[in-house]
Amino acid sequence: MINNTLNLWFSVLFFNQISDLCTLANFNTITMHINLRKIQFLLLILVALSSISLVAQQKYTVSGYLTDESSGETLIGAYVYLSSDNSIGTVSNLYGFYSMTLDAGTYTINVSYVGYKSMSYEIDLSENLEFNVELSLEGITTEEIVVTDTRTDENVNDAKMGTVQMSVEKIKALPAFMGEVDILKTLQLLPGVQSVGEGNGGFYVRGGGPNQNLILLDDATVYNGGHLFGFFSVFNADAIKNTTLYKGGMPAEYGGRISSVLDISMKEGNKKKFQVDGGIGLISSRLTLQGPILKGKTSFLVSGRRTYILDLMQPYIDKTDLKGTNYYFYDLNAKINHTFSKKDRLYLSGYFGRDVFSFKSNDRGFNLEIPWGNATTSLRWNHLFTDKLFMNTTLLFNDYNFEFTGGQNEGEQNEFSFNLYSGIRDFSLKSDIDFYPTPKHKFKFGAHYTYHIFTPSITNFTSGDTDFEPVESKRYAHEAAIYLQDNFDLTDKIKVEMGLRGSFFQQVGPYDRIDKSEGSLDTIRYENLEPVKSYGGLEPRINVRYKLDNSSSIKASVAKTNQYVHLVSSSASTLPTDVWVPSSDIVRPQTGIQYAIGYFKNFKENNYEGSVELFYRDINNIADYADDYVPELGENIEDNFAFGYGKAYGAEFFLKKNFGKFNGWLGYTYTKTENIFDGSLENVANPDLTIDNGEAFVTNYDRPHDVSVALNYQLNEKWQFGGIFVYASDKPYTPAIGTFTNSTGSPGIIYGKRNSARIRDYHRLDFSATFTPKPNKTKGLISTFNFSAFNVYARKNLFFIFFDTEQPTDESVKITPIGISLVPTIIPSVTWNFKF
Amino acid sequence: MKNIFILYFIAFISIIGFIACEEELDLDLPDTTNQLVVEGWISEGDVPFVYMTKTLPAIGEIRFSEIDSFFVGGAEITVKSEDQTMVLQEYVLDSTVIFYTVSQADLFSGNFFVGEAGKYYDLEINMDEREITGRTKIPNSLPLDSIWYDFRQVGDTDSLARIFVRINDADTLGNFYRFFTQRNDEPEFPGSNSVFDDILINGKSFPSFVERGQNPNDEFDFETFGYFFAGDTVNVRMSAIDEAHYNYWNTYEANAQGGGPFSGITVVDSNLEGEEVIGVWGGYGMQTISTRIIYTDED
Repeated sequence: MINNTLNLWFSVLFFNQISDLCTLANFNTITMHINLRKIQFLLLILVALSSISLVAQQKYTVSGYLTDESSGETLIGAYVYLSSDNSIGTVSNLYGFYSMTLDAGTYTINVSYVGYKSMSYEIDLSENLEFNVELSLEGITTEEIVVTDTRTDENVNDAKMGTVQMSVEKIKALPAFMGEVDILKTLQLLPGVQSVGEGNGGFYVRGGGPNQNLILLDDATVYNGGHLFGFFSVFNADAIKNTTLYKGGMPAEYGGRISSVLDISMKEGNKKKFQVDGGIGLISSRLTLQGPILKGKTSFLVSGRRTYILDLMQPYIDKTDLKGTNYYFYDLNAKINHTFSKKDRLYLSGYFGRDVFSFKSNDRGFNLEIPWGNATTSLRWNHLFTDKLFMNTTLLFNDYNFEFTGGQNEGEQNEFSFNLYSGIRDFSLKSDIDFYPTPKHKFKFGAHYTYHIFTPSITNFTSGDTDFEPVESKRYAHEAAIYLQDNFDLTDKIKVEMGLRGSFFQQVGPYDRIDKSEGSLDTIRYENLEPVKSYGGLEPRINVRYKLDNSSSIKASVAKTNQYVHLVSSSASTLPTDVWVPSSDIVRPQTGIQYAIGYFKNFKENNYEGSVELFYRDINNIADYADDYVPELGENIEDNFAFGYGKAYGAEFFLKKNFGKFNGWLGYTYTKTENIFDGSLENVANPDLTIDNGEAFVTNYDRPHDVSVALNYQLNEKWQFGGIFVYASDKPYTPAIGTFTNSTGSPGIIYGKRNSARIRDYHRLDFSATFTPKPNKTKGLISTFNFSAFNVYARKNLFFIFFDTEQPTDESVKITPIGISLVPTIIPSVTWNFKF
Repeated sequence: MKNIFILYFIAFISIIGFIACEEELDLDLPDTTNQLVVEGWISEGDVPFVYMTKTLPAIGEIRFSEIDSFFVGGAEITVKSEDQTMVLQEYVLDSTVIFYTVSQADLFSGNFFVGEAGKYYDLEINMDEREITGRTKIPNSLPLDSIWYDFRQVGDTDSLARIFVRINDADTLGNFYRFFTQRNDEPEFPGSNSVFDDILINGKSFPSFVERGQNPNDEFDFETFGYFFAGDTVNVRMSAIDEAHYNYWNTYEANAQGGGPFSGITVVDSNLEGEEVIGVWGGYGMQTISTRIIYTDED
């Protein structure tokens, strides 16, 4: 009762403060600092309030780590709750830690995690208790699993909306293109997440673009998630433990992107025994080594993958003018962790991946070398101040770069050579604290800081004996945020997740910009660390669940998000050449607000989950290239941005069967997107830029109807089958409505309204079968064979269309619309996976 | 330089995407637009020239003869320099092709002017109660001071020649160029990416390979593309142009590629004012240099 009153009082205070702060937040640095002070003040009140309520009663804390029994891997998002009242409970955090404070007494606690056997324990809480739990996998069974009292009702019970957590084991059971298990492609099968077909690694969440998704690998930002223009994702499934996607209502600890967050955790490495996993497939092979270094204290994991399809074709390529041409990609993941004491753990993890394309035309003496890829490093320190106060401090480095080197050489004489470079590099420090004062409250608060170095492009070239000065356009920026989040039960029926994030961004010098306004070509120059432009803002987030009964609930959420870094792509797909730029004196931060409401229902003792969610998003300051944009080296790309605003709305329907021989899900999404670039948000470097004369248009990934079906069937111990079916509405394109001639003899095209026509819906069926010859073998070499068929009925889905122009005679012109299908045939593949 | 990305990424995708397929689509395209297309120019030392056509439907092959009066006549076209005005005369060739330039009478009487570097020229078209205007400048050109060539061994032949010129960019930023080549008595053709600016080359004097311009409708031969041949007499023209003129050709050349996975679509930037009109009124500085390619076995 006291708690509830305090909560209520606190809520009122907090909301008053939020609305107060929101009116103050007008992207002004000074107000921002004042606001941050207010938040700090609130934080203090909050901690004080919780302590008051604690002193009043005799309470003890049970806390510990939840791990996998066979590997010692920590379990993320596992449930710990009282068997007497399952509304009293907690969830393990990203590091497998949980903490629950209860009145003194004897309890039965249940621990459950999807895919694992649920466990019950009797505990006597007469003092603070450290209680670590190991769960074991349910294992393959041909029997229908009997579900008893397991806490698999988070779909209904949790206040989170638009959030999907997926274990890699689930992902591995589904068919994969060329046998390459792909996390991003599987996420695209979820409602609210659209794929626009193969050859596009970007995913589109609730009408947002790929540049509005934050992809984190062990907390480090991955700026480009795709290999080979997105055919494959950079995440090697063997090294990944868990993925969580927030489509909306994201917790306050996340920020910096307005559409979604994909949080990916790498495995820590088997703590109990040395293990080798690997796979040999048609286009690539993988190998993962993991094991303990100091038993129970230190473990490691190293995982690598490399493709070789063009290596195999080298003998053929060697006979042509293209001798020396090759393409491959590889990924390397490594992680080591050490437990210093009960209170301190250290994790060091890293990822390094590259696509490498070499092109040679020997007759022309022309060569190109194009490597690109990501590198990330995370050093994380877990510290337990008390059994209720868990801190994680992370030092991060991440880098994405694209290089393009080449030239024309004639013997010794180097006639023309160039080197282009673009990329983004971040150094970050963040500290996050989990505070579990009572089972009804879970606080999280923290501070993040990032120093960004953007390199939209550096161009070096030499022609004959002339060296050109490199045209550099580096940008530097500080990004910082503090946040506070409280998840609490207001009443038995109402659960609230409420958070506030204050974010700040500042571009600093050195920075030169050519001022193109009013015909002047003067250079505007900023010195080292001199502020160029500052922005800030408050991002309140709230999710509320109202429980209708034990198996159904209604949830609502509102989340405001700011995005200070921008990527604009001129193409329909995500390209390695796409560059990130900071908010600056030209580019304002993108802001988004998303409202969602949903109904959640579980059936048959939580074996079936169903949900309907409706969402509406308003977005501001989105950037896109103006109609007449032509990419040019050395230019400030921001000068070509038009700014606009837009909205997206839709409905998601989801039905999922969790257990049994036959499981899987079915999703349907209706989405509508609309953007307007009418010049009302001016580009100071280039006023009057509009798109489509300021009329509303749909995005090029607008596919109103989207259906995904993913199914899994365990026939017996040896055979498991998977199937995927996807459907998406017709692809939008910009129609040619006319042509014209000029003195060049090659016709030009007059386009109609942007993305105003549509062609050919997308659908595809994939199958897979996994064969385990000796399912009961637990020692020695364990093999499985995966057979996949992609695009079973050879649907010619369109990747893009273009208009071929020609003047076949002096007296005529001809325009031919051409469609390109990247995978017009069935692609079978086989992969041998092994483990010992 | 700008399209090198696109070119090689297409090469890239064609190697990797060996399974991809291309098909002609049957699209239900909306009704054609009906705009006036104007192209006019005034070169240094030459008289102005203007012609007008109509836009065409974007479906299949369209013969100009199928379009009612494809070339547009009946306009009053005036070109003004800073101190002179000249009314152009309409000429009709083969009773279909219509163009406008200085009248015979003015030519004989000396009542005309030619383009001069550093001057602005205004175009005014009056027709059926509509008015179209444009303004351009002929910028000062800097001399091309040398031209040379070498030979390449391609397949069985060693007589393909590459042409080089030395380009001298002015010290100040904001210069734009368009280049053309001419081979023997063939017409002059612009390069496939014929325009460039000086963001990367500002103030530099440097040697540059010059691609052979060719009729875009001729068969594309990857082996000989861009090269000249032994015995050719080669003319290279490097014209200084103003920014709006550059924008027209720059956007047009991107536009004519028809869009693609890596480039998106580009709408052409017209530098003319008026309703329902696209096109360009451009001034060209004239710098030409020529050479004859003499093949010797010693090479």
